[in-house]
Amino acid sequence: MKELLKKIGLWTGIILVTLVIQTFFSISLFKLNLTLLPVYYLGFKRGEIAGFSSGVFVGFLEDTLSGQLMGPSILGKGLVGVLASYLSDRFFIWVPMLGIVSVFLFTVLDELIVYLSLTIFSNQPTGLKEFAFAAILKGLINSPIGGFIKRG
Amino acid sequence: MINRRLLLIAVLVLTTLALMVFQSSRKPFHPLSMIQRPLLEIVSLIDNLYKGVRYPLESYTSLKHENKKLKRELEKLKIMVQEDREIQLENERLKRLLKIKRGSKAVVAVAEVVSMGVRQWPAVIIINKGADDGIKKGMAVRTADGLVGKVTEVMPGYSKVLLITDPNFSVSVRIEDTRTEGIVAGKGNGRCLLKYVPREEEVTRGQILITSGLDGVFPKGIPVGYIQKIAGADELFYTIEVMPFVKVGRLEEVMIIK
Repeated sequence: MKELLKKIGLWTGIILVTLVIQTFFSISLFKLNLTLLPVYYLGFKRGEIAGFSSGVFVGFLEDTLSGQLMGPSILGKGLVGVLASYLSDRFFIWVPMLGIVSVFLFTVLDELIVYLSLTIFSNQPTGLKEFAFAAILKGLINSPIGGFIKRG
Repeated sequence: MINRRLLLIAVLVLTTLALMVFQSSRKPFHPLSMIQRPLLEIVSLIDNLYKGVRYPLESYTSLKHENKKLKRELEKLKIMVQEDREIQLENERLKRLLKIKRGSKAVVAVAEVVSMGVRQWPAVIIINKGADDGIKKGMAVRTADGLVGKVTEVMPGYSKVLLITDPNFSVSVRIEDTRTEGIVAGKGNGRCLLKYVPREEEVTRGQILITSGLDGVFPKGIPVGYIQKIAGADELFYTIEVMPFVKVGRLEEVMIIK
């Protein structure tokens, strides 16, 4: 129990630091999506419950801090957390490229969910072309990390 | 195992969809908005550390202080020059009408930008001045170059500013030389749209837009941007692309005015 609480504390700290870094850094108009990485890691390495919990936690913080609609980031990050756990199945043979492509696709998926949620339930945040550019850029920035997160 | 995953996905999708449907017709609710301040304190601390490393020569207190003072002075002077230009134009018009009228703009605070927000959307910045410094929700934010946005959330030491480029932002403007009125709204990609300009009006590239003051939110005469492209027109109005004067990705210091 003590060990579990220690781990939860450690990961909460890691997530908060990532969130602060994300809040601080941006490339011109584009904010990074670094918080996806701990969610992906936990989903991939520790299974769907850890991925789901961390995704919902990160999404909750992001939605709260954005001051807008509550839900898009919870859905996006939560889904990434659960879907990442599928990669740990024996069906997938892990090679660095799988990790790189997965992180890229998960980043784009997360961005797409936030974009669609805001478009449907609030206001369209930007044009489709601009969204695609931003999502791909963030995916490319995140993707190399996927090559280092190995199975096991 | 698979069932548990599918169950989690189903719970997540249904809960968040219900949450968003519920909020779509109401104001968004944020049960943990009080966590914003401690997080912003950390962000501000990192920002200061970053600036300390970036500008080592400026770390001498007196030099830094003097530089800050001079920067503020310069910002104020630039604004005064712009205001003079606008006042001159206004004066000419009013002289013709044999009336005299002068507008005034009061600077509430000068603030530093500490963060560009946590998510890509909405387009917001966080500034290091808040309710303690007299800032209130709805106040206009500008630099010497032009309009930045408006204050949407105020905390004791920080405020959130919705940028001019966000689609939720709109401001009543007029074209400086022809005095044609319209509404500028954000486009979400660093640019804005000028709406509701009738097709009968003369519009050309490069024309400057200033706030008209008719919306009751922004003082009149603040430069907003210039017409970059006339993208098209429907039966009644033009569709005009506007490039804001302020480069929202490079903001460092802003002024909050009332």
